Amino acid sequence: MALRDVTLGQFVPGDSVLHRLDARVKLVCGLVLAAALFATGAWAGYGLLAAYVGLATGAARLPAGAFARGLRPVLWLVALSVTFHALLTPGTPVVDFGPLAVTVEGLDAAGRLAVRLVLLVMGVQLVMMTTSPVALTDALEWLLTPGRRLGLPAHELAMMVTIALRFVPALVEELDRIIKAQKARGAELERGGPISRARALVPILVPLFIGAFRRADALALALESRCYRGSLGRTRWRASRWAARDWTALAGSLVVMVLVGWRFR
Amino acid sequence: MPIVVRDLHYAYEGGTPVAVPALRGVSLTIGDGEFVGLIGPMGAGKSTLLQFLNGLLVPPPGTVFVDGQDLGAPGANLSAVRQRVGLVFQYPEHQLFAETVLADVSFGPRNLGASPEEARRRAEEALAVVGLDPALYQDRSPFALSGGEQRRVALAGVLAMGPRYLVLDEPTAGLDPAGRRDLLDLLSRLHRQEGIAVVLVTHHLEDVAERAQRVILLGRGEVVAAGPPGNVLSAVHRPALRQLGLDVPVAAQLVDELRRRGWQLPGELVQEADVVSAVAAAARRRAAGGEGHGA
Ligand SMILES: Nc1ncnc2c1ncn2[C@@H]1O[C@H](COP(=O)(O)OP(=O)(O)O)[C@@H](O)[C@H]1O
Ligand SMILES: [Mg+2]
Repeated sequence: MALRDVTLGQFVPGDSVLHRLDARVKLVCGLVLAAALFATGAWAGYGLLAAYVGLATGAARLPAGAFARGLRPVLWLVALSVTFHALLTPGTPVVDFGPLAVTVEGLDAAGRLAVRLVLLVMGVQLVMMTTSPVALTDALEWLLTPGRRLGLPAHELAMMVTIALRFVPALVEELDRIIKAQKARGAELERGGPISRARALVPILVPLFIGAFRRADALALALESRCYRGSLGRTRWRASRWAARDWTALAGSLVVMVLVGWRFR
Repeated sequence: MPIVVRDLHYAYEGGTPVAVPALRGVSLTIGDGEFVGLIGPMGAGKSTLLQFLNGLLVPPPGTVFVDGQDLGAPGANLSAVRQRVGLVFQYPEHQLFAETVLADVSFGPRNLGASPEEARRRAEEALAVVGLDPALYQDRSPFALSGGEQRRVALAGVLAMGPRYLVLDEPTAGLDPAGRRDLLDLLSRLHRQEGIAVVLVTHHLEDVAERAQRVILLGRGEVVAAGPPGNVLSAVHRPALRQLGLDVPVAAQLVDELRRRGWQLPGELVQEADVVSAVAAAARRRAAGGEGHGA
């Protein structure tokens, strides 16, 4: 159980530097990192960002296994897109497979893509795994606050996003269980034409949705029984203040990102 | 013919740095028509083991045999195996999906290629077996039933496939004491009357102490002890049971306590009825012998 619980970037309690940073700082740094990753096209820029992410990963002191586990699904995506890029980009061939060839340009493009994706996901994971869901919700809400003028329900949106993230692993697990249970009753999922395949999904999707609603109901009840009523008149128990380390981290990160975005376009 | 498991190893995410060993060399046999209790604490590997018994997880060749068929052999007929070995998952009512009880229960037989009439006949039979009158229940929506009824419908859905082995993962979880007793009685009846072999997974030792012919104790992916309930739950294994965090049946705890106070209670006493008669006999002896210590 313990291991599955920390998949998909679930919070791992700890007291590393990264854990103690204000959630808002982490969120902003993550966003800026994403922007910088897509702004830069130079290998030097990637190198700098990789060093930045590497430093943060070291500072987070997360269990290596859990961290690696979260990265794995992305590695598949990376492998796939790298293969396509390497094979389908026209240019000087390195290895020739008849109609397809691995080209220098292809390898270059594939490499950039891989670095971008991996660094991006590592960044997201670092934020998610070192920030408690409550702090994350608050940070998200803070980020959305300017939108309140336009009628954006910042608190509710932040709450929804956090809850949705929390539910994904549970739903994945439930899906696995339902598929197995129907298979145990002789269901065949990989047989027949498109129509019979689509029909075979009914015994899986119906219980999945019902389960999701059941969870949602239970959660709503749990929230209400503790008098939750959205943002209306809600105060904070832990009003977080920015400490010196938060300002330092934010300033340091911004310097790196601006440098990357400016100098290594 | 039996189900045989030989030195089965399994790790989730095997071959990666995050591998979770779940089974470490499990060997056991489930005899034809036997009632076996599989006990162990959370995370012992019970649910994992069950999924190998009907080929939901495919075992390495030569490790799991159902009625002589090697489930790991290339080209093994797993759908025939899933018919012979009915697997009831934990909270099976969460897998109901159809509009009517009848449609849900006949899902299994239909998948096995039964004609609509045949599937209907089998579904009605199975509903009657689990104690739901087909005439009253078959056209109702499964979602409009009570939790206990839903669980029976789900059980009927597996029974309708006509299994020779019925494997149940914590079937009493979340039931009240009466519902729990009813369900266990139903399993005993299936075992006695239909000759179906039952593998009951639980961490309530009371459930198996009273009903199982044989108990297998699983801990951290290994078989720690196996044998008749009186044996596995006996004083010898109590420390192991406690270490695994399993509660020894209250009746057996009572026997332990009385023995500590000098009562002479012969034999392995784990079943309630045995304990009651043994304690009653000892009490009579003590009364007859005045304020004596033991018989
Ligand atoms: N789908 C899964 N992915 C990864 N690990 C799992 C999965 N299912 C179970 N495990 C792990 O395997 C071990 C055995 O689990 P399980 O068979 O469910 O035990 P039990 O049913 O006895 O509680 C546990 O350590 C559990 O965390
Ligand atoms: Mg289990």
